Amino acid sequence: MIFVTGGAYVGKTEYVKNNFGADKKTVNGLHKIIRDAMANGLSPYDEAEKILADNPDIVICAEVGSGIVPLDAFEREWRETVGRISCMFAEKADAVIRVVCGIGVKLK
Amino acid sequence: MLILVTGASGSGKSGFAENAALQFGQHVTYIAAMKPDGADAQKRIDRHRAMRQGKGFHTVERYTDIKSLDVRTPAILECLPNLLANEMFSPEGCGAENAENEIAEGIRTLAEKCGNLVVVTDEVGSDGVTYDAATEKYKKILGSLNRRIARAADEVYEVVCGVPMKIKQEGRSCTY
Repeated sequence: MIFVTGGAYVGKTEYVKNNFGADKKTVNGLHKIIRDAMANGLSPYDEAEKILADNPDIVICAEVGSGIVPLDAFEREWRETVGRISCMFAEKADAVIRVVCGIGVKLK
Repeated sequence: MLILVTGASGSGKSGFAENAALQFGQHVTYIAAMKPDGADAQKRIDRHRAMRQGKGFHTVERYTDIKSLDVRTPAILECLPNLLANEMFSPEGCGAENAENEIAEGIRTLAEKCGNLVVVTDEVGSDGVTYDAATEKYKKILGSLNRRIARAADEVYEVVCGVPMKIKQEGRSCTY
């Protein structure tokens, strides 16, 4: 599995399409899946395990933790959880790529 | 040669970008896009002025429409996020609908005239916050411009804690 991260609007989806083709089994927007799970009272970690069990080729997740710690408890927990789950995916991934200005920087 | 320098605020990207521009010769034009609106902006401007004092830059203040700038020396454009905000939100600007193409075209034209151009930009989309519609639009256009300029650039750097990480060299991504 290839894990792709980076801030909003840096071109993660476009990068994946251009470099790995459109035919790969891709989970795009892990940060949103985590948010939806939390909003619906589900465990985001269970959702993450389900995704991993499904063996995707590529997982795309936005980097969301480089700002002020939010006052709102839900926002705070979401940010933290996205970070933790990203670490989990990155650890299991064969390659980790962080996209900056549309350029993929290989971290692992 | 077109060089794009990105990084978080306070990462030291301006200092690095200035030195990169100075490698192109003794006469380097500093294109300042930040409007002196309010004390905070003035403080930043003063800090940048002090930082580049003695480095020999010729400063040109230009808040919009860089396409029509006639600069025939190597130059540094500081910075894209300010220029975009001016084009999108100030009365003299070209407006949100035209800003992306106007700036992309402006940088292309300017780079041709200058021969060597260093563009400083910013990373604004890593805080996980969804802002109001106008700000989200601004973030999206800035992200898109960053990619367009990175695509056209010969070199791209991300500066982290003052350390420049070269992510594109000789027109090719050099990290993957």
